[in-house]
Amino acid sequence: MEKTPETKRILIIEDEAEILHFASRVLELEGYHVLQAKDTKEGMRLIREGRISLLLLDLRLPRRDGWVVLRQIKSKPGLEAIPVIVFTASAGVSQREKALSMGASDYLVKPLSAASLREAVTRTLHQKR
Amino acid sequence: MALKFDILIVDDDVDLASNLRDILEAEGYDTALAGDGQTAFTLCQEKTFELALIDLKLPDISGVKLIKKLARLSPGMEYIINTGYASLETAIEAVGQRHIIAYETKPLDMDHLLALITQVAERRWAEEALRESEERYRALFKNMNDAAFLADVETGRILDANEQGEVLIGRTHEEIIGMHQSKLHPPEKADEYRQRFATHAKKGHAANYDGEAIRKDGSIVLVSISAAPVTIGEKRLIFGLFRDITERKHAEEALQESEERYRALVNLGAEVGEAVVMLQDNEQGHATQTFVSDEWPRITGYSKKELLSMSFFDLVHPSHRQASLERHGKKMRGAIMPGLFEMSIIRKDGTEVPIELTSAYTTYKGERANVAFIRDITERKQMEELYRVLTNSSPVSIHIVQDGKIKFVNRRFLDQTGYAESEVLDRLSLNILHPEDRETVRESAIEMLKGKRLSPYEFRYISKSGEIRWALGTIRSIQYEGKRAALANFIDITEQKRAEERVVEYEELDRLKSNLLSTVSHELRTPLAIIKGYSTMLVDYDRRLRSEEKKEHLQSIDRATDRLTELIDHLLDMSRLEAGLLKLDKQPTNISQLIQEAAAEAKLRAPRHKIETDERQRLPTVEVDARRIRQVLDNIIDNAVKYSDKESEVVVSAQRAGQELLISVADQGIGIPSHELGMVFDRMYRIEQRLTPEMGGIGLGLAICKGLITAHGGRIWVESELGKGSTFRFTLPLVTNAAGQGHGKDT
Repeated sequence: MEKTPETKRILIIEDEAEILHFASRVLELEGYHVLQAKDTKEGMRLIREGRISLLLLDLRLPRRDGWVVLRQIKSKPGLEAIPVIVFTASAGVSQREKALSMGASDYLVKPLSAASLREAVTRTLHQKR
Repeated sequence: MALKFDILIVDDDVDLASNLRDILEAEGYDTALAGDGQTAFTLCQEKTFELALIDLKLPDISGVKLIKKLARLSPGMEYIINTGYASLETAIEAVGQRHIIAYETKPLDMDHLLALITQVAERRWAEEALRESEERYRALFKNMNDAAFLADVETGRILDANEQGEVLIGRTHEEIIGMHQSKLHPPEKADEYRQRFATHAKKGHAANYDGEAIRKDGSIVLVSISAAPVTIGEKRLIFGLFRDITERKHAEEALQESEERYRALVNLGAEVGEAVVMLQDNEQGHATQTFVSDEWPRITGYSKKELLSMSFFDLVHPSHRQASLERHGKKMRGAIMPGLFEMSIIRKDGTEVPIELTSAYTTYKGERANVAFIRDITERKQMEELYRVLTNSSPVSIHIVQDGKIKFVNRRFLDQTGYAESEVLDRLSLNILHPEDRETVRESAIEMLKGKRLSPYEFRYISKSGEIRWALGTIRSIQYEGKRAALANFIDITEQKRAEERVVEYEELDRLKSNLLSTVSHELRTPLAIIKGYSTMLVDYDRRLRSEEKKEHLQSIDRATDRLTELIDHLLDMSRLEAGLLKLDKQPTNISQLIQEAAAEAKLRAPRHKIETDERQRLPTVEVDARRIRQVLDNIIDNAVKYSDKESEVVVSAQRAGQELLISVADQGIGIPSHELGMVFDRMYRIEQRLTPEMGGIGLGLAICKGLITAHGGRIWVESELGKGSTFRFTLPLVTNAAGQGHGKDT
C-alpha cells in the first residue's frame, strides 16, 4: 500500500452552531478536512457521497435523534466500517453502554475540551488502521 | 188359494146344459149357460171364461164360427166341442183351431168329460202358479243390484240376464240370451268355468268364489261369484250372481301399499334409532299401543307383548302425562300439531328416561291412528347438563350465537353484563356491542366461520347500566343443536384498560419529566460545552489562531455564560414560584416607561422586526415589581419576535380596564392552535416541539410569566389564530392586593 499523506475527511453532525464551529475549528487545525451537517438528513447525504473516514455524531439531534443515524450506519454493508464517535450532553452509564454495543467506537460527554476531542479522533483513526 | 176356473156351457139342449152345469158345480167349478151363440158372445164380453163347452150345432151360428168369434174376444179361452154329428170334416176343421182341446161326441161320456175338464183345470192352475212365481221371480231378478244370470244346466246356455248383468258384461239382453255361460268369462279360462259350472249343477248348493268376467270390449272385470242350482218348473238351472269387486280389490291393494309404506317407515325409524309406536283408541277410548318397533322395548324395558297391552300414557312420567294425553286427543280428532316434544317415560325398572317425540295422525286399516317417532335423548340431556355445569362455573363469560342471535349464556355472562337471561336470549348479539365495534366483531365472526383461526381481540360492550366496558374475547365455530353456531368467550378487561390508560398517563408524565430533565441537562450543558470548548481551544492553539478568531471565540464564551445565567435564573425562579418563596419587590411604577424601555431594547435585539408601542391614554401608576414585569414583557416580546417573520409587526399596548391595567403584545406570527391555547403557560409546553426545533430554551418562560403575573394578582392569557398571529395579554390590578407581597402559586 502506498503511503501517501491522505487527508482524512471527518463529518460532524451537530445542531448547536457554536459547538459545531468549535469542533470543526479544532479538527481543521489538526489537519483534517471537516464536513458539517446540522441534521440527520444532511448528514446521511454527506455520508452517502462517500469517503468519510470518521463520523462525529451528536446523539441528541432534533427530529430524529442520533441513535437512528448510528443504527442506520452500522447496519448498512457499505457504511458500517466508518468509525463513529458519539458525543452528547447526557452522562448516563447505560447510554454509553448502549452506544458502544451499537457499534460506536467512542463516547464523549459535553462539555468537551479541545484536547479530549483531538485525542479521541486520533485514537479512533489509529485503531481503524 | 182357489184358482179361478170358469166354464161356459153353450148348448141349445137345455136339459143337457143344466145337467152339465150341476155336475160341474158339484165339482167346484163356476159355470154359466148360453143357449145360443149370441148369448154366449154377450156373456164372454162380461166375463172371462177359461173353458167353453160348445155344441157345434147351434140355432144361430155354427160352433166353429162361434169359436172363431170368441177366440178374438177371449184369447186365452180353451174349448171342448160337443156334437151329435160325427162329421169328420167338421171335426178336422174344428180341431184345427187352436185352443180346442177335445172333440166329444154325444151322448157325452160324463166321466170322460169331467176327467178332461179336470186335466185342463189343473194344467191351467199349474200354468198360473208358474206364471205367478215367474213374475215374482222376474221382479226379483230384474231389480237385483248385482248382475244375475240364469243358465240351463244341460245346455249351458244363458236363458236370462238382468239389467245389471247387461251392464257388467257390456252386452244387450238379446246378445246375452242364448250365449254359452262360459262366454261370460275370459276365453283362456273357458274350460275352468265349464268345470265349475258342472260342479255347481252336481253339488246342489251354492258356491262362492272370486273370478273374472269378460266384457264385450275384452276388458276383464274382477267379480265375486255366487252360483246356485235352481229348479223352475221342471227346468234345472244355475243361478249366477256376479258382484263387481274391482273397487274392493283396489282398496285392498291400496291398503297393502300403505302397509308396505308403513312398514318401511318403521324400519327407517329403527335405523335412525327412533322407536315407532302406533296408538289407536280401543273400544273404551283408551290409547293402546297397537304396534311397537323393536327400539321401544329397548327404551322402555318392557317386552313387546307387555307394551301391546299397555296404554302409551301409562309409560309417560306423571308430570307430562296430562299434556301429552291432551295432545293425543286433539291429534286423534284431526288437529295438526307439528313439532318435537320433550318428556320423560318411566321404564319397567322405575328409572326415568328423557325422550323426544314427534307424531303424526294417519289411518291404518280404516281406523284412526297416531304414529309416534320417539328418540331416547338421555345422552343429549347429560351432555347439556355437563355443558351447563361447566359453563356456569367458568370464570369466563360464554355465549353462543346462532344466526346472529344469542342462544345460550352462562352465569358469568349475566353477572358480567348485568342483563337477565330473558333480556339476552334470542336477541341480536350485536346489540350488546359498542356501535363502533360492531362491524369489526361481525367481520371477525365471518372470518372465523370461514375457517380462519382468530387471535383474541378487544372490543367494547355496553352493560345493562349503560356503562361502556372493555373485553378481550375469542370466538370459534361449533355445532349447536345440529346447526353451525359461534361460541364466544370473553373476559372483562375494563380495569386493565383503565390501568393501562393510567400507566400511559404516568408514562407520559414520566416521559415529560425525563424529557424536562434531559432538556434542562442539555440546555445547561450546551453553553458549558461552548465555554469549555473555546477556552481549551484558545489555550491549545493560541499561536496558530489569528486575533480576530480569538476575539470571536471569547465573545462566544461570553454569550454562553449569559445564556447559562439566564437558564439558571429561570430554573431558580420556577422553583421559588412553586415553593411559594418568590419575593416581589413592589414599588409604584410608571408602566408606560417600562413598556417603552422594553420595546426599545427588544428593537436592539431584533432590528428587523417592527416593534411598536401603542398607548392611547395616560396610564396610572401601579404597584408592581418593575424588574419582574419587565421580565414578563421581555419574555413575551421575545416570543413574539421568535415566532414571527422579520419585517412583521409586534405591537405592545396598554390601557386601563376598570380596576385593572391591560397590557397586550400582538404579533403576526405563526399563531397557536386553539386546543393548545390553555396549555401554553404550562411548565413543559414548547410550541417549538412541533415546529422548528432549532429554537432552544426549556419552555419555562411562559410558565414563569404566569407565575409572576398571578403573584401580582393579575391574569395572563393568549388569543391566537393559526397562521395569523397571537396576542398575549395580562392584567395588573390598580388597587394593591390586600395580600401585599403576594405569593404566586401556580394554579
